[in-house]
Amino acid sequence: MTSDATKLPLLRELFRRLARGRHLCVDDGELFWALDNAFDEYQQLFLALGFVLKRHARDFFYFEGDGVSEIAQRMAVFLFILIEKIGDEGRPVTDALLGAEWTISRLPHFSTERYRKYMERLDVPDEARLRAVLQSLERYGFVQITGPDSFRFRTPIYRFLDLCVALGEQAEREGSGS
Amino acid sequence: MLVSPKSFFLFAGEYTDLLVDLFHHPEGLTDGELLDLIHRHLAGAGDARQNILDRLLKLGFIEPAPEATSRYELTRVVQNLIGHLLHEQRLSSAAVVQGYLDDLAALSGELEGALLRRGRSTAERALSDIATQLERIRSDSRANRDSITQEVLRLKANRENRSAVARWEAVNRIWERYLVPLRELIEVGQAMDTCLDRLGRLLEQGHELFATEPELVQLFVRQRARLRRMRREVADDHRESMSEVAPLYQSLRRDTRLLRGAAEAIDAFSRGGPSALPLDPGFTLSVFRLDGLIHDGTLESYLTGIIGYRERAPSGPILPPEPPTPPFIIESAELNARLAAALPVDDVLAWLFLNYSAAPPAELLRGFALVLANSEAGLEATDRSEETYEAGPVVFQAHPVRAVCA
Repeated sequence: MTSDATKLPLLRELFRRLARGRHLCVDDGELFWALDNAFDEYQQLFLALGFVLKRHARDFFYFEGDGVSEIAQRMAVFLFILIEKIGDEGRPVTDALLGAEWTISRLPHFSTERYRKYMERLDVPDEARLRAVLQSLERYGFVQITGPDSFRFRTPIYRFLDLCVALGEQAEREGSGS
Repeated sequence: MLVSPKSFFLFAGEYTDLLVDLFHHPEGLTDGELLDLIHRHLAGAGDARQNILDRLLKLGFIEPAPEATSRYELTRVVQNLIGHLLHEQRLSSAAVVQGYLDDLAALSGELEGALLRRGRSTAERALSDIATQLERIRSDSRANRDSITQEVLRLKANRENRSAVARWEAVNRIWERYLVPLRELIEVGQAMDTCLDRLGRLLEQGHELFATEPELVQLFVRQRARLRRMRREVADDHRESMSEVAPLYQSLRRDTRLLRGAAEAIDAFSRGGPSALPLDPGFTLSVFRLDGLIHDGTLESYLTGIIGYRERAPSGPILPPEPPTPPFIIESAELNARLAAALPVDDVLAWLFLNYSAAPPAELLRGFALVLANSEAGLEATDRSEETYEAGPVVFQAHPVRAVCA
């Protein structure tokens, strides 16, 4: 560790964002590169403060969390519905999510009765509240809102994808074991 | 029945589209369906349709299906030929290849016997059959590679909009049923390698043994070259097939797991609500707040909950509050006048409680004190024992006091 870890660049800004759940990827410019260049030092410093800095295989950084909030639940269901819809259309999921810009007013979350009920259960009954969920996703670094009616996903969305793959693998194991 | 090759190919050349369409009906067609198909390809054929159907049968393009004589399918030879031309051959499984290798092993045994006995004609026959088998393996290997490539392209293009799960099942079948077993078969030291190594040694021996017979030597040389070519091409074909399929296999496997995971999560949510979502510990978010401050997430949830709130005007007029009830006060003058009019009063306190029943207990006591303070009241103590007087929840005990005319 450097003799004065507090001299690490952009330390205040990095801590402020990471502590609030922000995921930092290459799109975040100097913040990302500061972590990339001195990951071990930052990790040790934050660990001393009780925060576990994680580096994902897809090259983004975040603090390990300690619970599941309502916001996380809304964001998760938002993604699960989108993933299911992409699968129904026969498109490759990861490519479809990350390879395109999405139009908010054309999202499928109110396109069927089943989806509407899911969203109402999360207290997201209309597009206005759906946009609030997107703002949460942006604040945590999962999406970038690119225009009044558009957004794109950022690589930290792999956290949701990894979770889905893990659940799928678990379901496979349970299925083959039955 | 012998079929003239010229007649066969002339017919095939004239009715190619019909034959290709028949190829894409592997389940076969009834004679009615077949006549309709002929009609579609040859509008205006009229009675010639039956004639064409008869020629399809006679030239060996079609034959009755095993389960029903009025149902027809392409013969295997024609299927294989059209499949080869279209690169849509049926895949040969590892079991089929193993069958070829078993045949080769038997033929190698025949050749070995021929070499031991220096049997020229036996060796020639064995070499001819060996050539056929080697070419069969090579041909099937190339057919497999072409078919797999076509199928992978179809799966990638996905013009039929098949779901990821359906595409996964298709590519997984290719992987599990054909590629992996074939790899195990052709790997160094495995069944194919062992069989072909033995054949290679026998061909070398035969070359040396019959060195003085040029025509036979040429056969051995040719089969050695055929063997080398087959081994090289089979290995290439399999390697190319694996490289075509592997990326798609990996991505579809991941996609299938991903979709299944999302479906499992949605299912849990639909049955048990948000708390049933399987997010912990795989997906948690860092939260940080100073003591005493509301957590951002909690605040956001609250604000989300009141998005769209519109203040409503009151439904009716605002009513004024009821005027306060004035306290009950016993007026001294009024009390004394009433008492004087009622004289004589045997028990002043009882008379007070009766005549001022609405007064609170404290006011009653004050009224009694007013009576006692009124020197004109003519009050007398009595020798009666203590009486009990109730004023609501309050109970008094006192010796009665009489009031007489002053």
